[in-house]
Amino acid sequence: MGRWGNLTAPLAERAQHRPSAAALVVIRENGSLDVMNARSVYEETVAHARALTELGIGAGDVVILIMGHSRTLFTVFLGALHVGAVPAILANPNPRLDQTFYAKRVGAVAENATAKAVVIDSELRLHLARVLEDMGSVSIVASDTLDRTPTAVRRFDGPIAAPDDLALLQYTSGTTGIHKGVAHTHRAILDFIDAKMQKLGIGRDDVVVNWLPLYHDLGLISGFLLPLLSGLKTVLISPFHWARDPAVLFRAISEYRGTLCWMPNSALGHCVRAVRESDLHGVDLRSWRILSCGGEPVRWATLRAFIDRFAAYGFETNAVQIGYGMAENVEAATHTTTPERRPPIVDWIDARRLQDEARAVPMPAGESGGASVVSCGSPLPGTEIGIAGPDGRVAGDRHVGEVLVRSSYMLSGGYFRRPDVTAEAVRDGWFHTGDLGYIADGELYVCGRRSDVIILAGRKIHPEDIELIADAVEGVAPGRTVAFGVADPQLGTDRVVVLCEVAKGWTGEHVDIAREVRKTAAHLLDVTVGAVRVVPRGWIIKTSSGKLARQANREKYLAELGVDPSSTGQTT
Amino acid sequence: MTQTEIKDVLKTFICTDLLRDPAYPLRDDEQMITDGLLDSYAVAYIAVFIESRFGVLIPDDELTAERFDSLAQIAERVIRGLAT
Repeated sequence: MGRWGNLTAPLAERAQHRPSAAALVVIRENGSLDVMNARSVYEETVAHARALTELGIGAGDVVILIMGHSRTLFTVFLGALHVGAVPAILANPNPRLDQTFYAKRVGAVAENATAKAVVIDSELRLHLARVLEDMGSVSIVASDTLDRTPTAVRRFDGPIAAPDDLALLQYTSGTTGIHKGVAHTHRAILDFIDAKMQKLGIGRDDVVVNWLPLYHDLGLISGFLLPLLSGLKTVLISPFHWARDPAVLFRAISEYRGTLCWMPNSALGHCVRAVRESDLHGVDLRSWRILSCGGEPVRWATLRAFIDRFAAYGFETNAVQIGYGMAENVEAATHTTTPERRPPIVDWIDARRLQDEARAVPMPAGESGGASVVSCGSPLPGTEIGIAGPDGRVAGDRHVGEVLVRSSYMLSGGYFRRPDVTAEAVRDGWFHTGDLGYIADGELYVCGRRSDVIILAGRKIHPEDIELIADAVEGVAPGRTVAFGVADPQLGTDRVVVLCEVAKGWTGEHVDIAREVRKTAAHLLDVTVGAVRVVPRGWIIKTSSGKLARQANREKYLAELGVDPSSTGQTT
Repeated sequence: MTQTEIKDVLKTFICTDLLRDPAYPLRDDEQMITDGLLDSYAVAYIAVFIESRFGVLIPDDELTAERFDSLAQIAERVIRGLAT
């Protein structure tokens, strides 16, 4: 990729030299197909680039895209890159989310990004327009009004961005009010793609099948840009379609001889549970070379269940590989190696010594008091990893500390217009990830978080946001709420637990408090709370640190349920 | 099976297997997904359960949060499936 000057240059060249090569296969919600070859991808990219230019959008302008998973989204995004604009794809609102609240959030992102325009699907436009009209300078464009009629590509329609121009922004998915957009240059993304292809041995014959949304780094970079720019056939499935019918992924892999697919741990659990045997008739998964798990802590039990369930259809144990990354490093930082196609290493360590000494001391597999941690592999070419020791220096093997990452493509444009946040995250050249882990024999093992952020199906949920919501519910004693995550082996991800103390004099039903907490968390944050427990006054342990209080209450809650807290950490 | 029996079977499954709270007083018209009791993944699990327990296969395009939001809606769909 290094030979290209910008992200759309490879599309232009392919349109010229291999115009009829299959590029994108979009599986629509109703199962019908939208197939685009290299020429049609480029022509539609250019058509959208022209339409954006006519709206006054040009080099360096930020454009926010809020659209369903369709051909229009893909080529408007590419069209924006083509004119040197800086697109940022945001999650489209889940129907249960409060529309006004959502629009306000988009407004806050638009303000941080100094967005010139928001391109949005028509049905969502009106609501957003009302909220954004006060912002004056942001224009709201309905996606279906953009003219994408392909006309002959003219000479001046070639891509214009320079390698070190900003290419795109990724707003990390989360609930917090602080909006951090990770900015990357064209060069950084192209270098990252090279590094990842080299690490995973991705070649011309690979076919990527992706259902991840493009507002997620794994979906955007590895599920879309990597295969499209390197000329691999890319099969795209809508995330909503996949959620209700995950078998669509297996049918697509079987039909298109898919070789690569990326997904978080919880998605594997969903496949095991929601794919019906009757949906897999005739499915052949033997072409599936790499199932790369990333985006949230990997649990060996979930991987095992997936392998056991789909082996009968030709899914190979050694296809399971693990990645660890973050939008700040474009996407992955480490990955298990695949050329030798060995299964990921599972490290058994002493859970108590991990807790008490911050050291990962090996012990025999399966012995009581042990915890299993799955290796996330070694760094990608161009990336280095380290562990911050207690003295701030890089710690040695098997010492647990904050995971540090540095690379030539990391935070190439910093956090957009937030130099303060960038300076806080990058110290001495290392990006401080907030994850806890250790290194053994050159491979990274991630075993928790420094903060008490809850990771729900790959999305970071800040407990304080949920506590704030619960606090405002009628019947809850002010300031007497606590939220934390508890690992759920069946779901393969965390479950959000909220504890609330009942207000003095409240005579209503506890279940009504629980209903209201769940409802508000769903409507305002799109978070499904796994359990709400209304506890008597004085139950919640308060300390000066929010994090310690959450840990103490989590332990008390689990002890009352008769669960060993160490068995529900992120390491199992 | 009567409508009440079907509803009871579904309610036990939802409260025990999905919510993990067998004693939860689930109401017939409670909007489970819209109001945050379950996430949208649950629709797929309910479909798998309906197929195995009642032998009713719900086509993929019907598996939406809007159509599977309440116990009453789901029970009605099962009854329709059993009748055909």
